[in-house]
Amino acid sequence: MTDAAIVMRSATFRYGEREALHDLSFQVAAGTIFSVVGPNGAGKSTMMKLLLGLIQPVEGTVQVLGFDVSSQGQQIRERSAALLEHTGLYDRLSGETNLEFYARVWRLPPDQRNRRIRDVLMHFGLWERRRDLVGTWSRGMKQKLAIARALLHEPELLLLDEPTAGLDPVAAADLRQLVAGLAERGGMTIFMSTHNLHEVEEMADQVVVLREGRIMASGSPAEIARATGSPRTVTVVAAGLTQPVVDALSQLPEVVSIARVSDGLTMQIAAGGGLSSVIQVLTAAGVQIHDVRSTHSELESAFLKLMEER
Amino acid sequence: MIRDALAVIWKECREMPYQVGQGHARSGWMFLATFLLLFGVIYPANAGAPYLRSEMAFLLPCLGAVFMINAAADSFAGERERHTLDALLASPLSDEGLLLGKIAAPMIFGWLTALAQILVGWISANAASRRIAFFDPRIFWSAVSITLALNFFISATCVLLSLRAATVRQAVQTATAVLFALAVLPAVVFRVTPSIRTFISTTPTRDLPLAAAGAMVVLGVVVSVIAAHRCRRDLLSLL
Repeated sequence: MTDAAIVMRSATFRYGEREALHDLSFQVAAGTIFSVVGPNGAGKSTMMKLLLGLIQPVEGTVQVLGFDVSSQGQQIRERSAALLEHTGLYDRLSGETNLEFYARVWRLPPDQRNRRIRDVLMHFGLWERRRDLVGTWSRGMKQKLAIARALLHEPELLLLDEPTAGLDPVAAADLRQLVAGLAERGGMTIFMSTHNLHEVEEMADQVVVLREGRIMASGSPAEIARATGSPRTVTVVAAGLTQPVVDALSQLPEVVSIARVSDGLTMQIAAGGGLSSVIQVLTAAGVQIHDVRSTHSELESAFLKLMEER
Repeated sequence: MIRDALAVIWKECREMPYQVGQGHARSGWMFLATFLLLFGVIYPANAGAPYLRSEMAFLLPCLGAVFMINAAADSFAGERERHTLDALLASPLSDEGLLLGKIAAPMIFGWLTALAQILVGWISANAASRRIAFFDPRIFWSAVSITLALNFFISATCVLLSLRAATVRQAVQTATAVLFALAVLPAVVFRVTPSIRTFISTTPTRDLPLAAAGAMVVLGVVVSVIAAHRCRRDLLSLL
């Protein structure tokens, strides 16, 4: 494996006359979680297709796992796996048959096939339902099976398109934990597109913000937040607040603005600013803090700001 | 390529009853059972031993190929409609292996159905006449070859039409119209083209089924080549 799992240099792709991706350049280090975020129609799914070698750039070059997408798509697909917008599972077949088909597609030797299928089904807690038609499964179970299918041949690169969309919070948290583990323990490179910015903040090492096929920002979530200078909104639910305390807080350099609400305070905290000084002022004044909530994450604020820019 | 095609055939055969029954496995099996009952049991049993020497013995198994229109038209359009095509394209299956598997699966299934009808028809005709006789060899080989050629031709044509169809319904409707036109075409050509009329009238009747099978194989190969040209990942993933 090369040090960079993905290298994109000035890649452009057009659907007829419409430019879907414009002059994209970035690198994804092997063994990291890389996320691409952007509104609908930003070009995230097109980028996935490009990385899988399903479409070729009209300008620039894209290398995945050391292979060129324009001429070596087959080698890329042999070493990677993708969970795209839809799970791509056959509802009319059982979970086990779905996996067996893809084990054959990935050319696993017959003796390994059954062992791998059993291993992944056990790992994801799907063993008991393996003979049931997938059409009768819940969305969360299907998503797990689709991930299990992707891991059958132990790929070097995993491409995930909105992996937690439509999942309940418990299933989504399970999936996030699993994906983080794959990169951390398995050394797998994860390329993930999502709308969920909290998810990105929690998991991604590097992020690209995409709008209308162009990169608006790139770097770690904290770097993007700092670069855009986006404040985040923090709500403090507390009892015993007085005007002098509010005035003291407004003097803190990290507090951009402050307003009292019925059960506490709402503050705008500058990008990169922590809450320790705020908490210190409040506790010193004897204020009883019941809850501290970040309404918008730093990345979310940065994202919203980037989407507003013209 | 062959290994890829075998993987696709393996999967398609498990979905075939659903495809024949347009989404309902039970309907698929019912269609096939009804076909075998009517043309494999009732007709040969009524006809008795003469059935084994009549042209009906190779014409009736051909009717089973009609069921394969649904199955073959489902090949790509069904994957697209049920959102499974993208995952398939993202896999290392070769374009050629994918296409070969999609054409071969309904062809094999259709041919095995025809062979089952031939076998059941033979048993029924013998049971009705209470003696054991075999098919006239010319009839038997005509039945075996023409059903294989017909299923190949229908599968290739329907898969080609399915490549660009947005839905299974659209693929089935287009395939039915095209196959109906192709079925009528020889009769029209026969009427208006003296040279073909002369060729057919001078060809011994016994050789006509084999000539028809040969023509269908040639047409099937032509259609398959066109399909191979159109079965490209970039085109399929952009639809």
